[in-house]
Amino acid sequence: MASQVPDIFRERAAAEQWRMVDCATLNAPQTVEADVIIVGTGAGGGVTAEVLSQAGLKVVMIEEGNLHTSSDFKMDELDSYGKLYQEGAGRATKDGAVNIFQGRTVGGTTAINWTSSFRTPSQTLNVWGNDFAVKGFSPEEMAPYFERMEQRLNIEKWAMAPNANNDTLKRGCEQLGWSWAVIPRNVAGCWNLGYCGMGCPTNAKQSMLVTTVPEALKNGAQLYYRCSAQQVNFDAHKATSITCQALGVDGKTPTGVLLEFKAPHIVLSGGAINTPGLLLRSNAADPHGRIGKRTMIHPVNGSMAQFSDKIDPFYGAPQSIYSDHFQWVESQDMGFKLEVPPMQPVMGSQILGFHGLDLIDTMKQLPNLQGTIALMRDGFHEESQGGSVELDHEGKPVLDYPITEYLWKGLRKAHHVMAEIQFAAGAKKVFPIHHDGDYYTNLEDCKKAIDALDMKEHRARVMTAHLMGGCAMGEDETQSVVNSQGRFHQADNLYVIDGSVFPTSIGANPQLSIYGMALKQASQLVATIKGQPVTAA
Amino acid sequence: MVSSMDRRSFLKLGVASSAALTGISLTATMTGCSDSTPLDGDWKVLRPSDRRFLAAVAPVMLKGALPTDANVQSQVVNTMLVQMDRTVFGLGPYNQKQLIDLFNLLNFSVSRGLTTGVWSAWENASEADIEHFLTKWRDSSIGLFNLAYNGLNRLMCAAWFGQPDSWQTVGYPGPPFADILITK
Repeated sequence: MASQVPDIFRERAAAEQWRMVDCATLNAPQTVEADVIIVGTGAGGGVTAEVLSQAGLKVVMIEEGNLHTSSDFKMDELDSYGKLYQEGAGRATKDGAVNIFQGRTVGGTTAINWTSSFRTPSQTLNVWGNDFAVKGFSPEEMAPYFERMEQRLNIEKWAMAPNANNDTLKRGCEQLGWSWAVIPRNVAGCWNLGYCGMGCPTNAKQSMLVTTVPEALKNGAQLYYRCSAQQVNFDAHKATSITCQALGVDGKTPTGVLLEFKAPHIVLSGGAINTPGLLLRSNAADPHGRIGKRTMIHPVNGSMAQFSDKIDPFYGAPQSIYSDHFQWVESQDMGFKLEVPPMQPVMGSQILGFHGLDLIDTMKQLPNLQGTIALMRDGFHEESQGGSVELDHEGKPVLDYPITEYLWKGLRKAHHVMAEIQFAAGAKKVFPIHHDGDYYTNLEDCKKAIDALDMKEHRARVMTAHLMGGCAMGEDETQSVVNSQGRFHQADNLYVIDGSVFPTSIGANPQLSIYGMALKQASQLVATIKGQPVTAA
Repeated sequence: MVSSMDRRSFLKLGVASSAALTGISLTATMTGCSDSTPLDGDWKVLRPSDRRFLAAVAPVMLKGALPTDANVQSQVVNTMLVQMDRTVFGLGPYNQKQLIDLFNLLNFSVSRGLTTGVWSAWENASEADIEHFLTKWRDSSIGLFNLAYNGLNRLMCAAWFGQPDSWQTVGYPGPPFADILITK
């Protein structure tokens, strides 16, 4: 039986005769020409494709992932993690210590993120201007771009009541006198289901899959999916083409068919890790060794609490409350944002690190469990320089992200803060998620245990869903990969428009930062191509 | 969401025992002790020896979660094996290789005995022996073993808690509005 919600992507694709190629079906090599080639269909590529196609340019979008649309989204963890995430949701840092959740499907990570939509904090933008020689990104200059993207994607503070998982964070902060606020979300007609991470089955999430990518296709853009960009080809100071491998029906294995995409302008929007990886694989000029450097991840740790009341952490808008109470502290400590994760059974069980009866005893309490997470604001301190993207022996990008003492200190502090919030909200017991952690029934014992935790790789549970940097923008070529308009310093017609251009982490869930930046850069690119002055957003 | 094994290679970490492990694993590969049997049937990645290991360990990793009736449990474990094969394949070639290296280590008698304390074949190992191995790797001061434990733990958690059969035990009613939102 089919879902009763119309699959608007498929319906429009048929009605409007969108030009899409599933590269798994190709038997012969192809050469494709356009005005602009865009590699990637996530937050950066989607917005860029919309802006360029609206300007009348002939656009081709390339996507490594498959095309999955609302009727494919079954609110099934195993199905979604396997199909919609990089490396089957098994991507990790080089030493395996940090799990990485990043999308790999048409729409990119926007198809599977949890919809939290924050403007880039002013503090972050000011650091970029003051310390990283980025021009044109002051809070005042960026405001109109954020405003336009908020309108485009229906971004508003969540108006419904938060689910109990989020409400716990709110109540804990209130009890302690700590600040909290409601999260703006990019949804329209949201059913409040809680399955954003598995692909939105109702098309309520205003991801690139249902907004900018369809708009670009309506405007005549072409989409090649299951198409993996292998190499950017250069001739002197120009990028001439992109060589891609067609992937087979398993979405992983190259079929042997090669595609060559040629255009006077090429935009890389594969996101952090993949975009610097593509440049490294292409042996792109890198006189100052900056490609892949300073990749930031907002390292995340978590705290699990058990309540007497039902939480049902698997249902309801996944993220609707946050606290920045510890984000922009005066001390030298690493700042962090506090949020909550949705917990369906796979996600819930995998973050625990227990087996046997310890595991099942906790899992039986799933309806009464509440999770709180802290997202570390990396890249703002001399002892937090992020990680480096390298290539493995097969030429695939891998992120080497060392966790410094400074960062461990921040993670430990966050464990204290999260436990305080959970007990203040009435938790019966709290478990700082760590191999040496246990459930503690009072704050004093819990804090003692947190102070004693051996904070090291593979024992502390650390993950990330926010990948930023690696192709930093700026006017100082010795510090950056692209200039403030996203143009590659070493080629006149190659641009990077995705989260990899951020010189630091954002200090907030990054999607709206990418949308606003992409709108600005793509508008500038249209003006450059057409030889016109840029009009303000 | 299974952790990739250490991407530098499971066997190259600079811990005290890694030199010994490397030697053992190479021996296992070179002497043909590792299972190079061609895959049979619909299996994408997991070899018969890998499946024997996973089938022996899963009921201990998930003790108290799986059905206790022997026949039912055996069916459940078979379903999990199919899912784990799919998951490992989905991790991509690099992560697959790390896991296969781990399975080689776990399936060669000498390296299995030295690293896990289990000296019998997996299918003959007692529950207590397997429990001891899991706890030893989880609590080890050697990050390499913690990492391998985490990978096996996540693989098995996903394969079980992703199945609707597991949901009643954990009080998860399943996806809402399934009748009208899920295309079967």
